[in-house]
Parts: sequence; C-alpha cells; structure tokens
Amino acid sequence: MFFVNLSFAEFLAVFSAISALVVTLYLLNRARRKQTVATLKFWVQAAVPISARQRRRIQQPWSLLLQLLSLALLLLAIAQLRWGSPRQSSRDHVLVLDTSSWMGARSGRGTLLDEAKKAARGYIRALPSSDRVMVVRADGLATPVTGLESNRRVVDAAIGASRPGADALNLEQAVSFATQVQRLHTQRMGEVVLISGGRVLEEESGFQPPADVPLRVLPVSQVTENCGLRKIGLRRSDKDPAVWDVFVSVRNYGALPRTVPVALQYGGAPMASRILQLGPGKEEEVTFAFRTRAAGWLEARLLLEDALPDDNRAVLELPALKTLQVAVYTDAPDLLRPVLAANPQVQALYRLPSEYDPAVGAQIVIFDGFRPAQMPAAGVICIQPPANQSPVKLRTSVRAAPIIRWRTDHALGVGLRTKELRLNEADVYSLSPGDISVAEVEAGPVILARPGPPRLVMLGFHPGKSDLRNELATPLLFANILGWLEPESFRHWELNAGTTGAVTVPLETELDPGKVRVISDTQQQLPFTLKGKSLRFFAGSPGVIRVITEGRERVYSLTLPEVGDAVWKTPVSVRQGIPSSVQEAIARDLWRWLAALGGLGLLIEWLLFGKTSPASATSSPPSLGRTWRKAS
Amino acid sequence: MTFERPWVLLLALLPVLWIVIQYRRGESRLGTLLKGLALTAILIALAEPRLAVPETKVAAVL
Repeated sequence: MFFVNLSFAEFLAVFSAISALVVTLYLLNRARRKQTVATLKFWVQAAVPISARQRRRIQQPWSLLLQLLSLALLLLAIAQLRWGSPRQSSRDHVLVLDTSSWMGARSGRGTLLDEAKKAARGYIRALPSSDRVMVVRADGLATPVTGLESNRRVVDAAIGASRPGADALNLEQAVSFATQVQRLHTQRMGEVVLISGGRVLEEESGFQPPADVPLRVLPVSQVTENCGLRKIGLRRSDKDPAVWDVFVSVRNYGALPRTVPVALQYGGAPMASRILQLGPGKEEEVTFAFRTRAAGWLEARLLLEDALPDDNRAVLELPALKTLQVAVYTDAPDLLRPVLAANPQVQALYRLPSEYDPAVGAQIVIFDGFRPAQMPAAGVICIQPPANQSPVKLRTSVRAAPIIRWRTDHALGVGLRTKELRLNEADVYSLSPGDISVAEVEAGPVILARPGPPRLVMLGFHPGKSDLRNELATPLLFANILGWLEPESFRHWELNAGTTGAVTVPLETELDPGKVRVISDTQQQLPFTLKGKSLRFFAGSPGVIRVITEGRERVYSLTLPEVGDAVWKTPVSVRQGIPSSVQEAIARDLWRWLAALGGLGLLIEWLLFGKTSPASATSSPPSLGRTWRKAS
Repeated sequence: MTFERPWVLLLALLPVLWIVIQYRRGESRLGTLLKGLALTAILIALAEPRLAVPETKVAAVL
C-alpha cells in the first residue's frame, strides 16, 4: 500500500493539522453563547455558570470521531492511496503503429494495417485499465497521435483513424522516438510496442534495437509477392522536341520470379506495352518513345494483380509543345529560311518590308535591312539596318574583319565557336550600359543584345550573306537568340513520377540559389539545399513539386508509394506477441472508494448529529430536568 | 471539460435538493450550504472531470 500524491509524513502532517482544527472548532461550537430572551424565568438553570473544564468536555464523541474518520478518508483519497507496491503501479507504454505504404498491402484478411489495428486493440485490452498508452504512427516520420492516455476510447479512436501513408517505415527513428518519449515523459516505464509488417529500406534491414529498450513486437502476416513502379521519367527527345522519351523503372519485391506486363496510355488510348521478366528482388528499366505536341495525361500501368495495387499505376500530366510565331520582314527570305527551318518549334511567316504592320501578332519580329518607324511590342532581331535608322548607335563599319570573341558565358553565346571566320562587311555598335556584346571584332561588338523590354538583338552583318552561312554556329546562334528573346517557348521540360521523401535533383551546372524555385502544387515555396550540381528537397506528403531553374522546369509527381526493399527480421532477444501476464501486474487505485466512504461518513454524521447541534438547539429552551413545568 | 462518469453528476443534484429543502425549513443556512457544497464537490470528483489543455509546440526536422 502506498501514496501516489503525498508521502506518509506529509499525510500525517496534513491530517494532524486538520484534526486539530476540527477538534478546536468542535469545542468552540459547543461553548456557551449569548442568547437574548424575553424573560429569564425559565432560564434559571442556564444562568448557573458552568466551569470551563465542563464546557470543554467532549459531549458527542461519536460525532467527532465520525467527522475525523470521514476527513481522514477524504485525505487518503486526495493522497491517492493504492493497494499493492509502487512497482505494480500503472505503467506508460508507447504503441508504435506502422503506417508505411506497405501496410496497405492485402493479405488474406484485409490489409496489413487492418491486422495491425486488431493486434493493437488486443494488446490494449490486455493492459490494466490504469496503464497509460501513447499511440505513435510511424512511416517516414514518427508522429505521436495521442499523449500518454489512460482513456481507452481516445486510444482506440487514434488506432482506428490510422491510414497507410506514402513513405517506407523508418524503423530506427520510430524506436528512437518511442524510447525518448518513455525516458522523458513517463512516470513508470512500460513497453515500446511495435506493430509492423516489417518491410523497411535496405539500410535498415539489420537494425538492432538497443538492449535497454523494452521492445515488444506484435507481428502481422508476412506478405512478400509484389511488383511495383519505382519511378518514371519523361523528357523531350534531343533530336525531335515533338517526341517524348519515357523511362519506366519496375521492381520485383517478391521472392519468386515474375513476368510483368508494362503498358503506357496517353489520353486513355494505348500507346505501347512491354513484358519484363524480373527475378526476385530485381529492378529493371524499360524505355518508350512516342510523338505528341499536345498536352494530355500519360498513364503507366503494370497489368498484374499483387499485394499492393497502389504502386501499379502512375499518371503524369504532359505539357503541350509550344510553337513560336516569328514574323520575318525581308526582301530575301531564302537567306534566312534555312536557319529558321532548323528549329521545329519555330513557325516563320515571311513578308516584304512594305507589308509591315506594328500590330503584328508574332512573338518575335525580324527586320532584315530596314527599321520601321514604329517598333513592335514583341522581341526584335534587327539585321544590319541602314546606319541612319539603326536603333543602336553605330560606331563604325569594317571589312574582312575576323570575329575574335564570342560571349560563351552568356545564354546568347553558349556553344558558339568559329575558326578564323572573317566578315566581309559588318557594322560595329557602341555599347550602352546594360548592353550585352555577343560577338566582337577588333573594332567592337558586331552582335549586340539589349535586355529591353522589349528585348532587342542587333546583327551588324547578314548571316546569310557572310561566310557564317556555312558554319555550324549559325543555326545555334539563332536558336540562342530566339531562346533569349522568348525563353518561355523554349523551356525544357522534365517530368518525373516518384515517391515522397527526400528528392535529389541533378543539375547541369552550379546555380545561384536566388534563381531556383521549388514550388508545391499549393503554390508554396519549399525549402531546398544546393550542393554543387545537386539540389535536394523534402516532400512529406504526396503531391506535385516543380523545380524551376533558368530555362528549365522539372516536374516531380510524387504520388508513387515508397516501398521498403528489405524485410526486417525481429531479433531473437526481442519479446513478441501479447503476454498473458500483463493483466496480473496491477496496483489497485482506491481513491474513488475512499472519497465515496468519506462523503458517506460526513452525510451520516450530519443526519445523526446535525439536529442536536447547538445551532438548532439555541432556538429551544434548555432542559430543566425534572423541575420543568409548563408555564400555562 | 469532459467527465469519465457523467452519470455521477446526476447524484450531485441530491445535495442541491437537500440544500433547498433545508432552506425552506429555516435551518442554519450557512451550515446547510457548506455541507451541501462539500457533498457536491465529492460527487463531482467521483465523476472524474477531465480538462484538455491545448499546447502548441514547434518541431524542427533536419
């Protein structure tokens, strides 16, 4: 028998103080008091002084005893007296419920999570009612759902509301979290109970719980046979931007070899299919290619039935291939046609300079050898305009001048290189602040870009009339210029379907963090890290994440469930199953009975002795014994 | 606030009723009131009231 809230000495001290107070009040309450009456004729006996010793004598010992006993019982209830020893008092358990994606796998009796819930409820029922339980859902992160709770309805509701997540189980983190909760927040340490399907990431397959962790495992059915999509990648072909290259990665998680049909649908129509032969634990990648310029939904599907259907299907939204409208005002369209026709995204419209309309609907306008009175609002390429009409100040003109420098560190000059290329005739421009020199001869820039808006590119020579027309650099120069003038149309798209969690994005070059944005489908900016040519971010829940860098947009559709590669074998030293002896370890809590008895004692005392208390007696004349007679 | 045994609160009405009856009889009012309140408090304690105190915590995942 022991107290929870007070020590025995504290109990004695408090009870002594209360007892002394009650006895004092009792004696004072029964002392003589002043009473105003009409006549003293009938109060003769009361007028006789009583000695102080007699007044302080206890006249109703049973009343006082009952009061003291009742107060003692109430104080014992407050001190929370318990039957048993402190070692048998209620314990605090942490119940770790595996809610990883694998728990959605089907066994013969519903899903694995259904089995886990049943086991969890069985364990809770086996516990003494005074034991407290914390429910922790564990997938990629360990999330406490309740506090340490003795209310079984709250615990049961938390178990019932658990659903399979999208991540794999992070076993070490879950056990570590539960252990920390027990060490920091429990009154008396109970058990860490893990209810799991046991499928974990490869690096956690050999996890050994620390020896001092009171771990108990409640296993569920072992389901092994499953194949699933691991990731899907799409990007436009380098050779033809109208063609999508699709990479699909499939894994066999089971112990038996499987034949896996992989099918691709676009807009609901079958596009392609392959059959893969996958050995146990093997992963293979299959590639597809299909042509479309339109936007639509691409679906990859494994045509089989297995334990986990969620990882057999993935859907990606494909953007349309944008077409760039270019209006070319020239007297010699054949000189420019080859360089513009080299880009399949460009739709060029050739007009005579006399047909120029400032309200032209094109996104880029090329003026060959002239400059209109009113410039359009779109991006402009001016090819060697007359000196008196040039929008950029002309410095000089040169003949047979070699190009000595390309601005290869800028998007306009990326990949450009010429060897001993001489320009027959070229205009050299004066640079203003903000202007970009793309190509230079000895006398100055012959290709110049002005950021605008609208953006403007000046060519001091005609590429179709110079030796540059035979160079590979010419179509590349025009591609760079068009891309700089209208970057949105030439944005590179890369689509990926994968699993939630930490995502690493490989980059072509090291980037300035200020020019990178990682955006969720709710338009929230996600934090990310940049290390060299690698960007990392974390997505805790399924969704679509966009990584936008200069000229490139990568879309990550993180909707595939992350399934652990390996199965964790429970160490022999770890206890398993629901013990039958848990019910015996009980320390009975007596406070309710003590409080009820204390209240009952006070009630009885009031009922038995309340009527004869001085308070009620004061209204009656004192007893005169045998000498009393009726007045009338 | 919630109660583990809400039905016990019905019993807490009895002392209140007792106070009213004693008042009508003209008994010592202060004494009756204190006795009734003491019994009511014991019965409310036996109903095991629970008060959920919301806490806001900030966690950082690194």
